[in-house]
Amino acid sequence: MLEKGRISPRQTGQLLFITTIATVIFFAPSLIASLAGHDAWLAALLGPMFTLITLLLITWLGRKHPGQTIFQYSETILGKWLGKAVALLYVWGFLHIGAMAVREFGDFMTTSFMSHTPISVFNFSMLLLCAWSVLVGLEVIARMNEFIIILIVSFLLLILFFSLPNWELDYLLPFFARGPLPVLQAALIPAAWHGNIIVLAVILPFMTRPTRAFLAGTAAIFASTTLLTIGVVGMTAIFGPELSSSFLFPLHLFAQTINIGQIITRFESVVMTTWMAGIFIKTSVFYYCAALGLAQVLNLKEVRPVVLPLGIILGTLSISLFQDVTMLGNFLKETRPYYTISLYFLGLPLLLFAVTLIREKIFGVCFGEQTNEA
Amino acid sequence: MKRRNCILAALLACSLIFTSGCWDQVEIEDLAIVRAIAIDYLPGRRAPYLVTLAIKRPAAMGQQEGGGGGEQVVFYAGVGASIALAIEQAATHIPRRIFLTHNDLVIVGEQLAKHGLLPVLDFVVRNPDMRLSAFLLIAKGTGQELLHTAERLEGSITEEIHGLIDQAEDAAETQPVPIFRFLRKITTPGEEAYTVVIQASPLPKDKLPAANGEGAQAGEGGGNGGGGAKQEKSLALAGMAVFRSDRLAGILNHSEARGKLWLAGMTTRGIMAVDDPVHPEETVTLSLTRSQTKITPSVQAGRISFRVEVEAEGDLISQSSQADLSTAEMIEKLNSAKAGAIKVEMEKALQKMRQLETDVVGFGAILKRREPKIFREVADRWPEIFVEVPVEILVKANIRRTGLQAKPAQPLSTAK
Repeated sequence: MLEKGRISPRQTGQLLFITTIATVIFFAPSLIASLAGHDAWLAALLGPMFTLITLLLITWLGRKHPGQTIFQYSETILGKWLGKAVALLYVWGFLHIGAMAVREFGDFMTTSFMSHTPISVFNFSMLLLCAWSVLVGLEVIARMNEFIIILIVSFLLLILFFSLPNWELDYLLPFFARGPLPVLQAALIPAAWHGNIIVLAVILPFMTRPTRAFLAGTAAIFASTTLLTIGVVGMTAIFGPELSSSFLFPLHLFAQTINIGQIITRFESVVMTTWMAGIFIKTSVFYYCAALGLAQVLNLKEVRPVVLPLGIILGTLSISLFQDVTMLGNFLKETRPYYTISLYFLGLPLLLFAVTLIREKIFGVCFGEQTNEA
Repeated sequence: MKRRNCILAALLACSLIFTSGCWDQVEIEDLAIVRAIAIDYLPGRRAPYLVTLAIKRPAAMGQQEGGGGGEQVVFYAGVGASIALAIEQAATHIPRRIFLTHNDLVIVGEQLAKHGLLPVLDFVVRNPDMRLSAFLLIAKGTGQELLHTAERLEGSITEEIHGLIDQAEDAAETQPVPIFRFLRKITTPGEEAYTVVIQASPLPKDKLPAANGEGAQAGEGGGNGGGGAKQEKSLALAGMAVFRSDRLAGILNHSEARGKLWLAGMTTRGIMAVDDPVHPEETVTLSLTRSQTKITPSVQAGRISFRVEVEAEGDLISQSSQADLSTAEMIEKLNSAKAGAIKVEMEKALQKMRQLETDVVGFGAILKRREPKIFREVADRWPEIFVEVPVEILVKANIRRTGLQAKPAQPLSTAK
């Protein structure tokens, strides 16, 4: 067994919540607004529809193959070579999403706070910390997250609360003026981030009670959807849809508008803290999944030997994936939703699901359940 | 284990060196803290932007009380083809690093406002040091001159402007607008932006001779004109600058600005005068405490029209006659007089807005919210349509209280 730690369903839910909210609330709102206009909040609310399908698939697969991660059961289902290929695809997926998160963080820091510092400083120091948490294992990440979640949620709520005097809810109208199509299209954007729930396919076997996985996942999705929707409502009410779609980091500017009696102002650093803490957990989780996946594909006895090489790959990717922030923005808006959803969040789980069903129903293979693990 | 802890402690200690940052290291002793920034436009030049920075004098920090009249802000200026270039030029004279984070006043000269505010807005949003909650003020004349006005009550001119803004939040007809609100208004279809005008004007006591006779002006220019040159000026928020897109369209005076606020449904505080119902040559002063505005668009056979209903509450705060106004009948008369006065203000504001072709109330945006399909058809031509759209104004005024006395005290000799 590569991972000895066990996490409770509550910790799992918290982990999933932070991996989704940490980046979605920073980047998604302006992208959603640029597509859905006044109905951005509706799109934010509809986003998880897609994610629930993913969640259903991976918990079902997890129940069929107790004690196995997605890397292992893809091999069980598809056979050795095809299974390893799918597992490697997932390793790449986790690396890619993790590298993007690090890049988003680095770009945010260099544009908003420290414009003279090279981006590699932020990316590599963040990854160094993440590498350490990957080495100590999932349980440590989950426990650390229990503290960080308080930080993030309370800070986000604080910002929303203090910005309330600037809200003008009139800007949410007209409702549904452009019809359902832009809304549905925009709903794919938060779905692309909520799809991060796919990490559950890796951490599910390490839960103390895997049967509660679906519950934990649903709770995480709904919590982050609620927070995102409130954020989008606030953004539209403060800036109006036309203006917010022109921003790069709307939450950051959102915090800039806070000015209560000239004293309670400049909340950007609070935004930075939240963002940094969130990215740390998110990257750690993705980094961990990639490392564990690679170790399992290669049948290693422990994760340790792959952590450093993967970290270097992550760091290099985070810098070389995008030339500039415009490219990052375009990728996040136009390519990423379709790419991640169709491949990692829906495509491959559906394939595994279908093959499992076919092999069971038609060829009479019986998967897993007879081991009857508690 | 012990050795490991030692290494960890050493690592932590090392990290202390880097916590202040390397590339972006900031020391407070090296900062030039900008308190206000004035941006002007010099037409016909290749480097048209003139930026004036009001920087807090470092020596003045920490001993604000005992300064003894020393100047607290120092001005630096630069010109350039863009705002950033102008600041860069100013920076060559400043022995410290320009620190914009504490700046919350952006004063824009009239010329630049007429030319277009987009470069200013772009600079503010793009630069992470500038804040979106900074107030946008339009200076009558140039912003630089305005900043060079001598302060009167506060330690520095920037403090003085801040004080005016704080006070104006109660007076409402001269509402200062934070930059993010301004931006939202210019980007929203069917709505135009506005903000407050700031002006350096002679004090009322200096104006007085001019009011008495025409000779005063000549006198100032002539022999005893020493007083005229030294004439002290003071800052005042003087009306509302209204925009067409990002360009200054015109300036509404106090009563027009209040009329605009009645239309836009913002709670206005302030006082207004109406004729005494018993002795029409006397005035009754009424305060405004609370108001509510409802704008309803209606579309009949393709014709757009609006209906504005205002409900205003207030108190009677003074009367110059001795008539007893505390009867139901009198209050009723006062109510309708007040409603009439408010309606006149609103109509004047509307007339001015039409004349300037700028929909600062946002009738278009209201139409868009209620009738999105109809607005979409007219969105491109909205400024032209707005000028001709009929607006029906209905005002209901209520006088709730009469202060601490119900009717004026009656001196014996005049009591009848």
